[in-house]
Amino acid sequence: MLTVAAAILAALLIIGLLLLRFSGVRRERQLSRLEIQRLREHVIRVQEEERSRFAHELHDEASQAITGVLLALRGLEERVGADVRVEVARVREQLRAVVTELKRIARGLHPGTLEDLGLVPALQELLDEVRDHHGLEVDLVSIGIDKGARLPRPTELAIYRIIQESVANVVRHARARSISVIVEHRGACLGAVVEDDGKGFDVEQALGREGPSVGLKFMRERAALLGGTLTAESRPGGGTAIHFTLPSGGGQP
Amino acid sequence: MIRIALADDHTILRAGLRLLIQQNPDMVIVAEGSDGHRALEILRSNIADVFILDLGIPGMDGISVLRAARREGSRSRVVVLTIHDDPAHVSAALTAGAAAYLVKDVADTELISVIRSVHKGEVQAHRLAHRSPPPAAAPGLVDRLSTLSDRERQVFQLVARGFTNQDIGGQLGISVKSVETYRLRLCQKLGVRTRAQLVRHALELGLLDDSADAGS
Repeated sequence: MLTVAAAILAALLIIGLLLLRFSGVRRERQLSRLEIQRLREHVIRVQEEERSRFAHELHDEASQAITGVLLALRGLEERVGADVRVEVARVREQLRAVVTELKRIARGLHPGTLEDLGLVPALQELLDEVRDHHGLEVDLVSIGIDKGARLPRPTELAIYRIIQESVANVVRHARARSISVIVEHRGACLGAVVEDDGKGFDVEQALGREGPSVGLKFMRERAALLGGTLTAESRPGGGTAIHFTLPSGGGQP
Repeated sequence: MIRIALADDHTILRAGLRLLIQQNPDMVIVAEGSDGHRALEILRSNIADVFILDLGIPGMDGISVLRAARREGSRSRVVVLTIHDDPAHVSAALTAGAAAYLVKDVADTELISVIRSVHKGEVQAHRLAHRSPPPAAAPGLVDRLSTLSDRERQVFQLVARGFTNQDIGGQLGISVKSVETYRLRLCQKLGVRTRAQLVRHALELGLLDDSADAGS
């Protein structure tokens, strides 16, 4: 009798312990998924803060310092002989090119126009730079976005970054002649398409491995974090179109 | 003798400005400041003929300084110096009362000539970033639309709405390859080469209005 009772007790104990252990494990796994999401958001936030800081250093500090030197050089140019003057002028040209380049890098890191004037002016500036710097034909169409109407900052920034990354990919890999960027605000949704007429790529392959197309996965993640979607359509030799949508989070257009 | 005052918080830049201006025997620096309040003081004192003001100056922002100075009837002519090169900032500064607007990157070549012409009473806005104008609409657009078959028109509208080829195929019950073929044909008929041109045409034709139906 005692042994039966003991056996039952032991069995109950074991079952109890097992239950405890497994419920603990399940809880841990659930926390992990939420924590991963928070970590992803945190990484993006830290990245943007860092970019902002670097951009400030480049744009406001470094390029102003160089401009100070440029001014001093200009003063010197007046005082030297005609033969040296040409050299000094050339040095000034080179320095000015450095300043332009620094500012271009700074703008890529932290688009001031996005904060000051909004999404469409910032995109126009981005595309103008691609045209001037890389000789691609660029074309931006915006639908349903009024001048001056602003969307929530995180949404504007996310759309801008995804488009920026898509455009950078085109410049880096596509060997394209033209880029089209369409942005549309329709109801509660902000959609965009970035299309080029370049050499295209294998989308499945790109999303399935590490390497240069980590950018595409990261873009999709960034869209997903805000409740949006990203789809890429491409054929080798037939151009590429990146479609994505984000909930606009703001009011009606 | 042109009496000049400088207001900029960036030390190296101000040193450069000083050095450059001092090269000119007909110019003298009479005052300097590194924050907005000091700038306003100098403007009030009318001690300078030409005042070089950094828009981004701390303490009291450049635009406010400009407005206050103008309100109080300052006689100094202000050359606004800034790192920003865009139309919105330019018009803000000129409206607030600046006599000239100069972007810092080109200050080394243009500053002295700007100072001289401002002293003479001219207003200057330095050349701005060039914005590319949108491509002009092709003539006879509505006529070309009528050359599209029903299918081609449907695909036209759905592409302009931003759907993927796969989505379009799903909605119309055709393969992705067919969608691509229709798109190629309709682009040829409409005379468009890029997606942006296609969307613009759709906008002009009113195909993207909310009342327009994809199936019509």
